[in-house]
Amino acid sequence: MSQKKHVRLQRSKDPIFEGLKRLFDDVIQEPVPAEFLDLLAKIDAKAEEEDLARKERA
Amino acid sequence: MRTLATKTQDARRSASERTCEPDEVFRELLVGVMPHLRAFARSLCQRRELADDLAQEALIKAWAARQSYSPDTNFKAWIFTILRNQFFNERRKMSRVVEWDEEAMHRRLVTHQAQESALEIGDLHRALYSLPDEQREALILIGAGGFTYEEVAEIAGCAIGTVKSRVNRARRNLEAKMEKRRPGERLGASDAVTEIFADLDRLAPGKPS
Repeated sequence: MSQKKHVRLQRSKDPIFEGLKRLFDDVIQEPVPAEFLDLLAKIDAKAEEEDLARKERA
Repeated sequence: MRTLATKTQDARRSASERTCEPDEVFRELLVGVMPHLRAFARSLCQRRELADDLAQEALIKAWAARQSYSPDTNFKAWIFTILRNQFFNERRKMSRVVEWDEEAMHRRLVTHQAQESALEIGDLHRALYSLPDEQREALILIGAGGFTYEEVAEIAGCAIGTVKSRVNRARRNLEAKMEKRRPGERLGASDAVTEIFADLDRLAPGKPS
């Protein structure tokens, strides 16, 4: 067994790590708020702008 | 006439060309890491809205710095580093401002009946936020984030030995705090007030966080 796998196995048996993983995973499972998706839309618009500017320069 | 197979090949090629665009690939990485980034931000700063602000700032900074990211390196570790640096920078700036965490105070003062397991998680949650930031960060990244000690040392910008010692201290602190407050045990009003004052003392100007 690799050392990394061994460490993971040890962590999974530790009740504190198990509890922390549950807390962490609870947030991961939450739907991503709309503001984050808005942010992505802004990033996309910016990328398109930059792409257009690049093409115009070329 | 183009066959279905040719059309499929064209579509695949076009998709592959699209995803080969560095910005497109980077965007996909950002989308994939969002839930993890939120979870890490939440573990650093307890308040949901502050944590989400922090995660969004990190996304913007990561996008702005996308040219400096090497595709053959660990993206999650790279963006977590951006987020934690931002958190500690802001923390330093705010070190002279006393932050009144109403949410935490409310949790302490209001007690309610719940199942034993929920109370244990509640205790762990409370104990976690009473740890010093660096200890909490190391413990979360190792215990929940799935990072190795080497990766955490890189993220936190410290030696591997320092990470190990932070994790050990954090574990001992957590155990001690949870041992002190057994599952199902309610906080008395005087205990809650003592904790709130301890927090204020910790956050007071000139005191290390």
